[in-house]
Amino acid sequence: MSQDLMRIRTEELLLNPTNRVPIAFCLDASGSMDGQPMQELNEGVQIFFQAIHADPIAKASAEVAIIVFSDDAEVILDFQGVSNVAYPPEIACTGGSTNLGAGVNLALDRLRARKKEYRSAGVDYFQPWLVLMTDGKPTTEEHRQAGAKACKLEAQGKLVVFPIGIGPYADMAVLAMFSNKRSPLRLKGLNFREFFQWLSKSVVRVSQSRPGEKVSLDLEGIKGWAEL
Amino acid sequence: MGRAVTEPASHWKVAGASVIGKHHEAARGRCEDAWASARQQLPDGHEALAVCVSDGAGSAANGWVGAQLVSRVVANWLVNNTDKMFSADADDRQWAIVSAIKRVLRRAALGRGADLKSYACTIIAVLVTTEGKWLSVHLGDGGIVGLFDGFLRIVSAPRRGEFANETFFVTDNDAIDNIIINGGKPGSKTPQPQAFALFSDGVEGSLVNRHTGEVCQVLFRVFDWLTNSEEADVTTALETNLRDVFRERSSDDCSLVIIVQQPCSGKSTDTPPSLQTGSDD
Repeated sequence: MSQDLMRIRTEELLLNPTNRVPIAFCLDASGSMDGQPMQELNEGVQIFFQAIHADPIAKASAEVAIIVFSDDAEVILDFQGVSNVAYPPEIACTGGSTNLGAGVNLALDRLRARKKEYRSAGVDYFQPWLVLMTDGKPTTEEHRQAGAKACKLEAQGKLVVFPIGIGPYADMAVLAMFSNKRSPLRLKGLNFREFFQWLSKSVVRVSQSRPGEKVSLDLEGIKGWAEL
Repeated sequence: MGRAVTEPASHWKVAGASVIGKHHEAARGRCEDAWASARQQLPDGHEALAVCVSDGAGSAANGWVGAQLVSRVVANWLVNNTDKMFSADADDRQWAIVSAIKRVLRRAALGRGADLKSYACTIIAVLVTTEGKWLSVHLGDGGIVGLFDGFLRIVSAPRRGEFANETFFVTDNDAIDNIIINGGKPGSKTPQPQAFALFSDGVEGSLVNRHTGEVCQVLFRVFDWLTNSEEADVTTALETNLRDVFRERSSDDCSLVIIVQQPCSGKSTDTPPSLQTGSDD
Protein backbone atom coordinates (compact mmCIF):
# COMPACT_ATOMS: atom_id res chain seq x y z
CA MET A 1 0.00 0.00 0.00
CA SER A 2 1.50 3.35 -0.97
CA GLN A 3 2.08 6.16 1.51
CA ASP A 4 -0.54 8.25 -0.32
CA LEU A 5 -3.20 5.73 0.62
CA MET A 6 -2.13 5.77 4.25
CA ARG A 7 -3.26 9.32 5.00
CA ILE A 8 -5.71 10.39 7.69
CA ARG A 9 -7.86 13.48 7.21
CA THR A 10 -8.44 15.82 10.15
CA GLU A 11 -12.22 15.46 9.71
CA GLU A 12 -11.92 11.72 10.43
CA LEU A 13 -10.67 12.37 13.96
CA LEU A 14 -12.79 12.98 17.05
CA LEU A 15 -12.88 16.39 18.65
CA ASN A 16 -12.93 16.81 22.43
CA PRO A 17 -13.64 20.12 24.13
CA THR A 18 -10.64 22.25 25.10
CA ASN A 19 -9.58 22.00 28.74
CA ARG A 20 -11.02 24.94 30.66
CA VAL A 21 -9.47 27.35 33.16
CA PRO A 22 -12.29 28.73 35.35
CA ILE A 23 -11.49 32.14 36.85
CA ALA A 24 -13.80 33.90 39.31
CA PHE A 25 -13.17 37.62 39.76
CA CYS A 26 -14.55 38.72 43.11
CA LEU A 27 -14.40 42.51 43.04
CA ASP A 28 -15.16 45.26 45.49
CA ALA A 29 -17.90 47.62 44.23
CA SER A 30 -18.44 49.43 47.53
CA GLY A 31 -18.69 53.21 47.87
CA SER A 32 -14.97 53.72 48.43
CA MET A 33 -14.21 52.36 44.94
CA ASP A 34 -16.15 55.20 43.34
CA GLY A 35 -14.36 57.43 40.86
CA GLN A 36 -10.89 56.73 39.52
CA PRO A 37 -10.36 53.30 41.21
CA MET A 38 -13.51 51.91 39.59
CA GLN A 39 -12.62 53.43 36.24
CA GLU A 40 -9.12 51.89 36.38
CA LEU A 41 -10.57 48.54 37.51
CA ASN A 42 -12.93 48.48 34.52
CA GLU A 43 -10.05 49.28 32.18
CA GLY A 44 -7.98 46.52 33.78
CA VAL A 45 -10.73 43.94 33.26
CA GLN A 46 -11.07 45.08 29.61
CA ILE A 47 -7.32 44.63 29.13
CA PHE A 48 -7.52 41.13 30.62
CA PHE A 49 -10.22 40.10 28.14
CA GLN A 50 -8.30 41.63 25.21
CA ALA A 51 -5.09 39.83 26.21
CA ILE A 52 -6.88 36.48 26.51
CA HIS A 53 -8.56 37.04 23.12
CA ALA A 54 -5.09 37.52 21.59
CA ASP A 55 -3.93 34.00 22.54
CA PRO A 56 -5.81 31.25 20.68
CA ILE A 57 -5.33 28.53 23.32
CA ALA A 58 -6.14 30.79 26.27
CA LYS A 59 -9.14 32.18 24.38
CA ALA A 60 -10.55 28.68 23.98
CA SER A 61 -9.70 27.71 27.57
CA ALA A 62 -10.39 30.66 29.85
CA GLU A 63 -13.84 30.95 31.40
CA VAL A 64 -14.59 33.96 33.55
CA ALA A 65 -17.25 34.92 36.07
CA ILE A 66 -17.40 38.39 37.62
CA ILE A 67 -18.88 38.69 41.08
CA VAL A 68 -19.14 42.10 42.71
CA PHE A 69 -19.83 42.84 46.33
CA SER A 70 -20.93 45.85 48.35
CA ASP A 71 -23.91 45.54 50.73
CA ASP A 72 -24.55 42.19 49.11
CA ALA A 73 -22.99 40.10 46.36
CA GLU A 74 -24.08 39.79 42.75
CA VAL A 75 -22.97 37.83 39.68
CA ILE A 76 -22.67 40.35 36.85
CA LEU A 77 -21.08 37.87 34.44
CA ASP A 78 -21.68 34.17 34.98
CA PHE A 79 -19.16 31.59 33.83
CA GLN A 80 -18.68 31.50 30.11
CA GLY A 81 -15.85 31.24 27.66
CA VAL A 82 -13.90 34.44 27.14
CA SER A 83 -14.29 33.74 23.41
CA ASN A 84 -18.03 34.44 23.84
CA VAL A 85 -17.53 37.78 25.55
CA ALA A 86 -16.41 40.56 23.24
CA TYR A 87 -16.66 43.18 25.98
CA PRO A 88 -17.00 42.42 29.70
CA PRO A 89 -19.88 44.16 31.50
CA GLU A 90 -19.01 47.47 33.11
CA ILE A 91 -18.67 47.22 36.88
CA ALA A 92 -20.67 49.96 38.58
CA CYS A 93 -20.07 51.30 42.03
CA THR A 94 -23.15 50.60 44.14
CA GLY A 95 -22.16 52.93 46.94
CA GLY A 96 -22.75 50.43 49.74
CA SER A 97 -20.62 48.70 52.36
CA THR A 98 -17.96 45.95 51.93
CA ASN A 99 -19.56 42.53 52.34
CA LEU A 100 -16.42 40.68 51.31
CA GLY A 101 -17.60 37.36 52.76
CA ALA A 102 -20.81 37.35 50.71
CA GLY A 103 -18.76 38.01 47.57
CA VAL A 104 -16.33 35.14 48.21
CA ASN A 105 -19.10 32.74 49.20
CA LEU A 106 -20.98 33.50 45.99
CA ALA A 107 -17.80 33.12 43.92
CA LEU A 108 -17.03 29.73 45.52
CA ASP A 109 -20.61 28.59 44.93
CA ARG A 110 -20.37 29.52 41.25
CA LEU A 111 -17.01 27.76 40.91
CA ARG A 112 -18.40 24.59 42.48
CA ALA A 113 -21.44 24.68 40.20
CA ARG A 114 -19.29 25.25 37.12
CA LYS A 115 -17.03 22.29 37.95
CA LYS A 116 -20.15 20.14 38.24
CA GLU A 117 -21.26 21.32 34.80
CA TYR A 118 -17.83 20.49 33.36
CA ARG A 119 -17.96 16.99 34.81
CA SER A 120 -21.43 16.25 33.50
CA ALA A 121 -20.45 17.52 30.04
CA GLY A 122 -17.16 15.57 30.03
CA VAL A 123 -15.03 18.70 29.87
CA ASP A 124 -11.60 18.55 31.52
CA TYR A 125 -10.55 21.56 33.54
CA PHE A 126 -7.60 23.06 35.37
CA GLN A 127 -7.53 24.21 39.00
CA PRO A 128 -10.02 27.07 39.41
CA TRP A 129 -8.75 30.54 40.27
CA LEU A 130 -10.28 33.05 42.65
CA VAL A 131 -9.10 36.64 42.17
CA LEU A 132 -10.19 38.71 45.16
CA MET A 133 -9.78 42.50 45.10
CA THR A 134 -10.84 44.99 47.75
CA ASP A 135 -9.85 48.47 48.91
CA GLY A 136 -11.19 48.34 52.44
CA LYS A 137 -12.24 46.34 55.46
CA PRO A 138 -15.16 43.92 55.54
CA THR A 139 -18.27 45.29 57.17
CA THR A 140 -19.66 41.89 58.18
CA GLU A 141 -18.16 38.79 59.81
CA GLU A 142 -19.10 36.51 56.93
CA HIS A 143 -15.55 36.74 55.59
CA ARG A 144 -14.24 34.51 58.39
CA GLN A 145 -16.28 31.53 57.28
CA ALA A 146 -15.62 32.33 53.59
CA GLY A 147 -11.88 32.59 54.27
CA ALA A 148 -11.83 29.22 56.04
CA LYS A 149 -13.66 27.67 53.08
CA ALA A 150 -11.20 29.15 50.57
CA CYS A 151 -8.19 28.01 52.61
CA LYS A 152 -9.59 24.49 52.92
CA LEU A 153 -10.04 24.24 49.14
CA GLU A 154 -6.57 25.68 48.63
CA ALA A 155 -5.04 23.14 51.04
CA GLN A 156 -6.74 20.33 49.10
CA GLY A 157 -5.19 21.67 45.90
CA LYS A 158 -8.65 22.53 44.53
CA LEU A 159 -8.33 26.31 44.34
CA VAL A 160 -5.73 28.96 43.52
CA VAL A 161 -6.37 32.24 45.36
CA PHE A 162 -5.00 35.67 44.46
CA PRO A 163 -5.86 38.12 47.28
CA ILE A 164 -5.14 41.68 46.12
CA GLY A 165 -5.42 44.89 48.12
CA ILE A 166 -6.24 48.18 46.39
CA GLY A 167 -4.88 51.40 47.89
CA PRO A 168 -3.62 52.18 51.40
CA TYR A 169 -6.80 51.25 53.27
CA ALA A 170 -7.14 47.68 52.11
CA ASP A 171 -7.02 45.41 55.17
CA MET A 172 -4.19 43.05 54.27
CA ALA A 173 -4.67 41.00 57.46
CA VAL A 174 -8.19 40.18 56.35
CA LEU A 175 -7.06 39.35 52.81
CA ALA A 176 -4.46 37.00 54.32
CA MET A 177 -7.37 34.94 55.73
CA PHE A 178 -8.23 33.76 52.21
CA SER A 179 -4.96 32.00 51.41
CA ASN A 180 -2.36 30.11 53.40
CA LYS A 181 -0.15 29.63 50.36
CA ARG A 182 -0.07 33.07 48.79
CA SER A 183 0.41 36.27 50.81
CA PRO A 184 -1.90 39.10 49.78
CA LEU A 185 -0.28 41.75 47.59
CA ARG A 186 -1.08 45.43 47.53
CA LEU A 187 -1.55 47.00 44.13
CA LYS A 188 1.10 49.63 43.41
CA GLY A 189 -0.95 52.83 43.05
CA LEU A 190 -3.77 52.02 40.65
CA ASN A 191 -1.74 49.66 38.48
CA PHE A 192 -4.77 47.59 37.49
CA ARG A 193 -3.59 47.52 33.90
CA GLU A 194 -0.25 45.90 34.85
CA PHE A 195 -1.95 43.44 37.20
CA PHE A 196 -4.48 42.24 34.64
CA GLN A 197 -1.78 41.96 31.95
CA TRP A 198 0.27 39.80 34.34
CA LEU A 199 -2.80 37.73 35.20
CA SER A 200 -3.64 37.12 31.54
CA LYS A 201 -0.08 35.89 30.92
CA SER A 202 -0.46 33.48 33.83
CA VAL A 203 -3.72 32.16 32.34
CA VAL A 204 -1.94 31.63 29.01
CA ARG A 205 0.74 29.58 30.77
CA VAL A 206 -1.77 27.40 32.57
CA SER A 207 -3.92 26.85 29.47
CA GLN A 208 -0.85 25.50 27.66
CA SER A 209 0.31 23.24 30.47
CA ARG A 210 0.27 19.49 30.06
CA PRO A 211 -0.31 16.61 32.49
CA GLY A 212 2.37 16.47 35.13
CA GLU A 213 3.49 20.00 34.47
CA LYS A 214 3.58 22.39 37.41
CA VAL A 215 2.99 25.95 36.24
CA SER A 216 5.07 28.51 38.08
CA LEU A 217 3.96 32.14 38.16
CA ASP A 218 6.07 34.95 36.74
CA LEU A 219 7.39 36.24 40.05
CA GLU A 220 9.54 38.90 38.40
CA GLY A 221 6.45 40.25 36.63
CA ILE A 222 4.70 40.82 39.96
CA LYS A 223 7.08 43.71 40.63
CA GLY A 224 5.33 45.61 37.83
CA TRP A 225 2.09 45.92 39.73
CA ALA A 226 2.57 45.01 43.40
CA GLU A 227 4.17 46.74 46.32
CA LEU A 228 6.75 44.22 47.54
CA MET B 1 9.12 -34.95 29.71
CA GLY B 2 9.40 -31.73 27.70
CA ARG B 3 6.56 -29.41 26.83
CA ALA B 4 4.85 -29.83 23.48
CA VAL B 5 6.07 -27.20 21.04
CA THR B 6 3.39 -25.66 18.85
CA GLU B 7 3.96 -23.96 15.55
CA PRO B 8 2.21 -20.59 15.88
CA ALA B 9 -0.54 -20.16 13.33
CA SER B 10 -0.40 -16.42 13.56
CA HIS B 11 1.97 -13.53 13.93
CA TRP B 12 1.71 -10.07 15.50
CA LYS B 13 2.91 -7.14 13.41
CA VAL B 14 4.00 -3.81 14.93
CA ALA B 15 4.26 -0.24 13.70
CA GLY B 16 4.53 2.96 15.69
CA ALA B 17 5.92 6.45 15.95
CA SER B 18 6.47 9.29 18.41
CA VAL B 19 6.75 12.88 17.23
CA ILE B 20 7.60 16.04 19.10
CA GLY B 21 4.65 18.29 19.96
CA LYS B 22 4.32 21.91 18.91
CA HIS B 23 4.83 23.13 22.47
CA HIS B 24 8.21 21.40 22.85
CA GLU B 25 9.22 22.30 19.31
CA ALA B 26 8.53 26.00 19.88
CA ALA B 27 10.56 25.88 23.09
CA ARG B 28 13.38 24.03 21.25
CA GLY B 29 12.78 21.13 23.61
CA ARG B 30 12.73 17.44 22.88
CA CYS B 31 10.08 14.79 22.43
CA GLU B 32 9.28 13.37 25.86
CA ASP B 33 7.30 10.41 24.49
CA ALA B 34 9.00 7.14 23.62
CA TRP B 35 7.92 3.67 22.58
CA ALA B 36 9.50 0.24 22.31
CA SER B 37 8.57 -3.32 21.41
CA ALA B 38 10.09 -6.73 22.20
CA ARG B 39 9.46 -10.27 20.95
CA GLN B 40 10.27 -13.55 22.59
CA GLN B 41 9.88 -17.17 21.55
CA LEU B 42 8.06 -19.01 24.36
CA PRO B 43 8.99 -22.53 25.48
CA ASP B 44 5.74 -23.91 24.02
CA GLY B 45 6.65 -22.59 20.57
CA HIS B 46 4.30 -19.63 20.64
CA GLU B 47 5.56 -16.11 20.37
CA ALA B 48 5.08 -13.21 22.80
CA LEU B 49 5.09 -9.59 21.75
CA ALA B 50 5.05 -6.58 24.07
CA VAL B 51 4.77 -2.93 23.11
CA CYS B 52 5.00 0.03 25.44
CA VAL B 53 4.44 3.76 25.01
CA SER B 54 5.64 6.08 27.75
CA ASP B 55 5.11 9.83 28.18
CA GLY B 56 7.68 11.67 30.28
CA ALA B 57 6.26 14.20 32.75
CA GLY B 58 6.65 17.78 31.57
CA SER B 59 7.58 18.96 35.04
CA ALA B 60 10.23 16.27 35.58
CA ALA B 61 13.79 17.16 34.53
CA ASN B 62 14.55 13.64 33.28
CA GLY B 63 11.02 12.69 32.23
CA TRP B 64 12.16 12.06 28.65
CA VAL B 65 14.94 9.72 29.88
CA GLY B 66 12.39 7.98 32.09
CA ALA B 67 10.08 7.49 29.10
CA GLN B 68 12.86 5.95 27.00
CA LEU B 69 14.04 3.67 29.81
CA VAL B 70 10.56 2.65 30.90
CA SER B 71 9.30 1.85 27.39
CA ARG B 72 12.27 -0.48 26.82
CA VAL B 73 12.24 -2.03 30.30
CA VAL B 74 8.51 -2.71 30.25
CA ALA B 75 8.53 -4.25 26.74
CA ASN B 76 11.47 -6.52 27.61
CA TRP B 77 10.25 -7.36 31.08
CA LEU B 78 6.80 -8.34 29.85
CA VAL B 79 8.04 -10.80 27.19
CA ASN B 80 10.50 -12.29 29.65
CA ASN B 81 7.88 -12.73 32.36
CA THR B 82 4.97 -13.96 30.26
CA ASP B 83 4.19 -16.92 32.53
CA LYS B 84 4.17 -14.76 35.65
CA MET B 85 2.00 -12.09 34.05
CA PHE B 86 -0.63 -14.58 32.87
CA SER B 87 -0.69 -16.75 36.00
CA ALA B 88 0.04 -14.58 39.06
CA ASP B 89 -2.74 -12.81 40.90
CA ALA B 90 -3.36 -9.10 40.35
CA ASP B 91 -1.45 -7.81 43.39
CA ASP B 92 1.66 -9.85 42.56
CA ARG B 93 1.67 -8.70 38.95
CA GLN B 94 1.31 -5.05 39.91
CA TRP B 95 4.05 -5.34 42.50
CA ALA B 96 6.39 -7.26 40.19
CA ILE B 97 6.23 -4.86 37.26
CA VAL B 98 6.36 -1.63 39.28
CA SER B 99 9.31 -2.96 41.31
CA ALA B 100 11.18 -3.94 38.16
CA ILE B 101 10.69 -0.49 36.65
CA LYS B 102 11.56 1.42 39.80
CA ARG B 103 14.72 -0.68 40.21
CA VAL B 104 15.94 0.44 36.80
CA LEU B 105 14.96 4.07 37.36
CA ARG B 106 16.61 4.15 40.80
CA ARG B 107 19.84 2.83 39.28
CA ALA B 108 19.67 5.51 36.56
CA ALA B 109 18.95 8.22 39.14
CA LEU B 110 21.84 7.08 41.35
CA GLY B 111 24.18 7.13 38.36
CA ARG B 112 23.31 10.75 37.65
CA GLY B 113 22.94 11.87 41.24
CA ALA B 114 19.31 12.68 40.44
CA ASP B 115 16.04 12.15 42.26
CA LEU B 116 13.85 9.19 41.27
CA LYS B 117 10.89 11.55 40.80
CA SER B 118 12.79 13.43 38.09
CA TYR B 119 12.21 10.36 35.86
CA ALA B 120 8.42 10.58 36.15
CA CYS B 121 6.58 9.06 33.19
CA THR B 122 3.48 7.03 32.30
CA ILE B 123 3.09 3.42 31.10
CA ILE B 124 0.80 2.30 28.26
CA ALA B 125 1.64 -1.29 27.37
CA VAL B 126 0.20 -4.48 25.88
CA LEU B 127 1.51 -8.05 26.03
CA VAL B 128 0.10 -10.57 23.51
CA THR B 129 0.91 -14.13 22.52
CA THR B 130 0.22 -15.94 19.30
CA GLU B 131 -1.83 -18.36 21.42
CA GLY B 132 -4.37 -15.61 22.03
CA LYS B 133 -3.47 -14.50 25.55
CA TRP B 134 -3.27 -10.77 26.12
CA LEU B 135 -3.05 -8.17 28.82
CA SER B 136 -2.77 -4.41 29.07
CA VAL B 137 -0.67 -2.51 31.60
CA HIS B 138 -1.57 1.13 32.09
CA LEU B 139 -0.54 3.86 34.50
CA GLY B 140 -1.52 7.49 33.87
CA ASP B 141 -3.06 9.14 30.83
CA GLY B 142 -3.01 8.04 27.21
CA GLY B 143 -4.98 4.91 26.42
CA ILE B 144 -5.37 1.53 24.74
CA VAL B 145 -8.05 0.50 22.23
CA GLY B 146 -8.53 -3.09 21.08
CA LEU B 147 -10.28 -4.66 18.10
CA PHE B 148 -12.39 -7.63 19.22
CA ASP B 149 -14.75 -9.54 16.92
CA GLY B 150 -14.74 -6.58 14.55
CA PHE B 151 -15.57 -4.01 17.24
CA LEU B 152 -13.33 -1.28 18.60
CA ARG B 153 -13.34 -1.20 22.38
CA ILE B 154 -11.47 0.88 24.95
CA VAL B 155 -9.27 -1.61 26.80
CA SER B 156 -7.78 0.94 29.17
CA ALA B 157 -9.05 4.50 29.50
CA PRO B 158 -6.91 7.51 30.41
CA ARG B 159 -6.56 8.07 34.14
CA ARG B 160 -6.11 11.57 35.46
CA GLY B 161 -6.57 13.47 38.67
CA GLU B 162 -9.39 15.97 39.02
CA PHE B 163 -7.55 18.59 37.01
CA ALA B 164 -6.41 18.52 33.39
CA ASN B 165 -2.73 18.80 34.24
CA GLU B 166 -2.74 16.06 36.89
CA THR B 167 -1.99 12.44 36.12
CA PHE B 168 -0.27 9.41 37.65
CA PHE B 169 3.34 8.39 37.15
CA VAL B 170 5.38 5.26 37.74
CA THR B 171 7.61 7.18 40.15
CA ASP B 172 4.66 8.01 42.46
CA ASN B 173 4.81 6.36 45.88
CA ASP B 174 1.45 4.73 45.24
CA ALA B 175 2.22 3.60 41.67
CA ILE B 176 1.37 -0.01 42.59
CA ASP B 177 -2.16 1.08 43.51
CA ASN B 178 -2.60 3.12 40.34
CA ILE B 179 -1.34 0.64 37.74
CA ILE B 180 -4.22 -1.07 35.93
CA ILE B 181 -3.77 -4.54 34.43
CA ASN B 182 -6.56 -6.00 32.27
CA GLY B 183 -6.52 -9.08 30.10
CA GLY B 184 -7.98 -12.21 28.66
CA LYS B 185 -6.99 -15.65 27.45
CA PRO B 186 -8.38 -18.29 25.06
CA GLY B 187 -11.62 -19.73 26.37
CA SER B 188 -12.41 -16.68 28.50
CA LYS B 189 -15.60 -14.69 27.94
CA THR B 190 -13.67 -11.85 26.29
CA PRO B 191 -13.38 -12.37 22.53
CA GLN B 192 -9.93 -12.82 21.03
CA PRO B 193 -8.18 -9.56 20.15
CA GLN B 194 -7.31 -8.90 16.52
CA ALA B 195 -5.47 -5.61 16.98
CA PHE B 196 -4.51 -2.96 19.53
CA ALA B 197 -3.71 0.74 19.36
CA LEU B 198 -1.70 2.37 22.15
CA PHE B 199 -1.41 6.15 22.31
CA SER B 200 -0.12 8.98 24.48
CA ASP B 201 -2.32 11.86 25.64
CA GLY B 202 -1.32 14.03 22.66
CA VAL B 203 -3.26 11.60 20.43
CA GLU B 204 -5.93 10.54 22.90
CA GLY B 205 -8.26 13.50 22.29
CA SER B 206 -8.39 12.65 18.57
CA LEU B 207 -9.11 8.94 19.05
CA VAL B 208 -11.40 8.76 22.07
CA ASN B 209 -14.36 10.90 23.11
CA ARG B 210 -13.66 11.45 26.81
CA HIS B 211 -17.32 11.96 27.63
CA THR B 212 -19.04 9.18 25.68
CA GLY B 213 -16.20 6.69 25.29
CA GLU B 214 -16.70 6.66 21.52
CA VAL B 215 -13.64 5.38 19.65
CA CYS B 216 -12.53 6.97 16.38
CA GLN B 217 -13.42 4.69 13.47
CA VAL B 218 -10.28 5.67 11.58
CA LEU B 219 -8.50 2.97 13.59
CA PHE B 220 -10.15 0.33 11.36
CA ARG B 221 -8.29 1.81 8.40
CA VAL B 222 -5.04 2.14 10.33
CA PHE B 223 -5.19 -1.52 11.38
CA ASP B 224 -5.86 -2.45 7.73
CA TRP B 225 -2.72 -0.63 6.66
CA LEU B 226 -0.64 -2.87 8.91
CA THR B 227 -2.47 -6.01 7.81
CA ASN B 228 -1.75 -5.21 4.17
CA SER B 229 1.65 -3.49 4.31
CA GLU B 230 5.14 -3.86 5.67
CA GLU B 231 5.76 -2.73 9.26
CA ALA B 232 8.36 -0.17 8.13
CA ASP B 233 5.97 1.42 5.62
CA VAL B 234 3.22 1.76 8.21
CA THR B 235 5.69 3.20 10.71
CA THR B 236 6.56 5.87 8.14
CA ALA B 237 2.87 6.55 7.50
CA LEU B 238 2.11 6.84 11.22
CA GLU B 239 4.95 9.29 11.67
CA THR B 240 3.68 11.41 8.77
CA ASN B 241 0.11 11.41 10.09
CA LEU B 242 1.20 12.22 13.63
CA ARG B 243 3.31 15.11 12.36
CA ASP B 244 0.83 16.51 9.82
CA VAL B 245 -2.59 15.71 11.27
CA PHE B 246 -2.67 14.68 14.96
CA ARG B 247 -0.12 17.31 16.00
CA GLU B 248 -2.42 20.07 14.73
CA ARG B 249 -4.98 18.98 17.34
CA SER B 250 -2.74 19.07 20.39
CA SER B 251 0.27 20.98 21.63
CA ASP B 252 1.62 17.82 23.25
CA ASP B 253 4.01 15.14 21.95
CA CYS B 254 2.15 12.49 19.98
CA SER B 255 2.68 8.73 20.00
CA LEU B 256 0.69 5.99 18.31
CA VAL B 257 1.68 2.32 18.21
CA ILE B 258 -0.45 -0.36 16.60
CA ILE B 259 -0.22 -4.14 16.52
CA VAL B 260 -2.32 -6.54 14.44
CA GLN B 261 -2.50 -10.30 14.44
CA GLN B 262 -2.49 -12.11 11.14
CA PRO B 263 -2.19 -15.72 10.04
CA CYS B 264 1.30 -16.97 9.27
CA SER B 265 2.02 -17.64 5.63
CA GLY B 266 5.15 -19.75 5.65
CA LYS B 267 6.77 -17.39 8.12
CA SER B 268 9.74 -18.76 10.03
CA THR B 269 8.85 -19.25 13.70
CA ASP B 270 12.40 -19.03 15.00
CA THR B 271 12.42 -15.27 15.17
CA PRO B 272 15.12 -14.27 17.66
CA PRO B 273 14.25 -11.99 20.57
CA SER B 274 14.41 -8.46 19.27
CA LEU B 275 13.91 -4.97 20.56
CA GLN B 276 12.61 -2.09 18.55
CA THR B 277 12.50 1.42 19.94
CA GLY B 278 11.38 4.74 18.71
CA SER B 279 11.43 8.33 19.85
CA ASP B 280 11.93 11.62 18.11
CA ASP B 281 14.54 13.59 20.05
